[in-house]
Amino acid sequence: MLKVSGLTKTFGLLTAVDDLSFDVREGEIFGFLGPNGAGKTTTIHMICGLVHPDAGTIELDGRDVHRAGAGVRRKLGVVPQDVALYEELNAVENLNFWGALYGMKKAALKSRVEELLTMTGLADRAKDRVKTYSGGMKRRLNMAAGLIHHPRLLLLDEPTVGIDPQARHNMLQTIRNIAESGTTILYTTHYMDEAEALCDRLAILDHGRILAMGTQDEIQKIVGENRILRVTGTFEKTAAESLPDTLTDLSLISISENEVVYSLPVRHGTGQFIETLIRSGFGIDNLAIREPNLDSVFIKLTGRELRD
Amino acid sequence: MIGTLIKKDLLLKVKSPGGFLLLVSMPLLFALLLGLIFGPKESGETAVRVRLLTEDHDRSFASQFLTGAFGRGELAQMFEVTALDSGTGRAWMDRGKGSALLVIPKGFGRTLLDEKPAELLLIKNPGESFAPRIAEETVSILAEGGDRLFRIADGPVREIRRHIDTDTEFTTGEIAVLSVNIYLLIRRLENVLFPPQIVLREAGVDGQEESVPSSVLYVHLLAGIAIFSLLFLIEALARDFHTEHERRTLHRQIAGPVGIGTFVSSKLIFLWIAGMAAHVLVWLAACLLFGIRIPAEQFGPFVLFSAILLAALTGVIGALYGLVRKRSQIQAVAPAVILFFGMTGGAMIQIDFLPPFLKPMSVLSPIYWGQDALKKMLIENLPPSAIGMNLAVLGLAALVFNGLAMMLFSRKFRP
Repeated sequence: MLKVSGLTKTFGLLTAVDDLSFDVREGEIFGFLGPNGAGKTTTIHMICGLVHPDAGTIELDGRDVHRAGAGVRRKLGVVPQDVALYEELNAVENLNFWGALYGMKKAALKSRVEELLTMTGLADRAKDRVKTYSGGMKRRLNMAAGLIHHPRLLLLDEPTVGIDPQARHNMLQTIRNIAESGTTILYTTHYMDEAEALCDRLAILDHGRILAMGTQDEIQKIVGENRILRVTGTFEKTAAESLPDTLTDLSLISISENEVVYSLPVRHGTGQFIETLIRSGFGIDNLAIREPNLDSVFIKLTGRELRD
Repeated sequence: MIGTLIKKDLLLKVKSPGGFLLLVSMPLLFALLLGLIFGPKESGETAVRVRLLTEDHDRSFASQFLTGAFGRGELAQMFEVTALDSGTGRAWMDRGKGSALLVIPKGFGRTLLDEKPAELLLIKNPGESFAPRIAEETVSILAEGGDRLFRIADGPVREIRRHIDTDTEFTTGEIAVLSVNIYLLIRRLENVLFPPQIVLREAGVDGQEESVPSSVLYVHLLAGIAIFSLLFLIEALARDFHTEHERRTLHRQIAGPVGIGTFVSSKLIFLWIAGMAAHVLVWLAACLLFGIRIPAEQFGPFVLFSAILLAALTGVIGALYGLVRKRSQIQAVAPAVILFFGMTGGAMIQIDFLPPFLKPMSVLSPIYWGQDALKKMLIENLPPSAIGMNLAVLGLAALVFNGLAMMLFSRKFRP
């Protein structure tokens, strides 16, 4: 459905997106997982035509998004990271406006508005001004506005940023409902648990490049059945670097002045690892053990945690 | 799609009407305020009294004829004349005690008798706009009338000059004959000395004189101020460009089916509609409350002029917004530009009082062209062709500045 090839964008000296290639298949939720500044939003902006790429192509159903213009963009539903609504208007008026922009007829628009208000749980507040809504309600309406015209592909740019856990839970459930109704979704997030809970396939991004892409199982194979062990404290650099020589299957991922990160297969207990650390003269302030998941993939690939 | 965008803008204003209504009624408030201060009174008198100070260094027959003219007939209702000692006039003017100071130099009467060009000095008070101009026009008319009088009254003038040259005294009989001749001449020239420009009455449609008070002064002042306040109104509403940008609703529209051109067009049309609503309110109030009459033959040109004027004002503000990047920048630049237009366009100070280097810049102000057209239509009741140049200039400004606004915004929001 969406095919992105060699997408590149620089802002001055900063390469925000660097030769990105991926495709989103019909009916799936495709996730973009990466920390802030990884290039997720810039990629979304290039897909919906807000930013012009320096290189590369974006095709939706075989048509170039930038060359075909508004005709192709009508197939996209955009839910920006910031709530982009008219807060003086109520939910119905907002949805009517965004629907009318896409040329929806009055009767079809009316029923679609009712459907979306029910789906997002805003039906009982439909006539209240948006400025009286909570953050979570605004985000759900923000999403409804992107869905009003039955888009083929919904671009969701970090839709859960800044909302409380309960509202986030509701939002994720709404997104599942949208996906079940057959809408294809491109979902960006820096929350690993969201990506794990929602996405059929995903790409892990950092510094504008895709580090890994595939289903969750495929991606987790990158770290295998390895735990990530993050040691903080005082240590000799040479001792830290030579530690894998003394413990079978231990791999060094990254090292800095007071922190070193290793990976170790789950079949090995952590007790032997701790003993080895002490024997090697480590003054341990903290030891964080992370079971294999997407975050450990990110650490394995970058040496940093997603939230860094 | 433009209709949907404009409808949304109107809906937003309807939903939060306070600020919008205040903005749209701002020109109306100016019109009402001006009407209450300067509007035609029931007595038929204008509210303006011209405080004319005179310094007569000549004290001749001619100079006394000139200063005396302000105390006679209709001029006496309009002018409050104070005769000052020589050399004191400037000090009075500096203290703001006069609308204008008329200085008649020594030898003025003799120069006239010698049939040579005579000069008068009129010093106008820059702190007043209309009264000094009335003084200037009246003195100019009287000077012209006096000049004609001396040319026509060639016989009596020669007689007076002969007596002065030979230093012989008039006999009683000679004085009587001379006086009667001059009086008859003045009576015959009365229409020249007191021309219709300073008779503040309006002629009815059927040609009969009405008791309707003059509206000239009110229209004169309102024309400039109304356009000036329209610029402020349009500028205030144009802030929506930034609001939509900051709230990201602009990006959401552009990411959808809305082109940048469509977005900018809808905003400019909305500004035009809001400006037109305010413009209509102003002139409706002027007509209904202060007896301003838009002659039937001027109605069509007035509507056409209004549409073009608003398009020009909208374009100017739109281009200004397209030019600057940030809200803080426009907040600094826009009032300065509008004040410049107001100042050079004659909305705040009569163009005649502007420093010489500013006067040529008047033509750059849409207020100048708009005000001039309104005066031609509503005060002078000139045929539509008289405002052809005004319409052409404003129309060209509308095309150029709206086009520029579209271009600048397209560059600004281009992906």
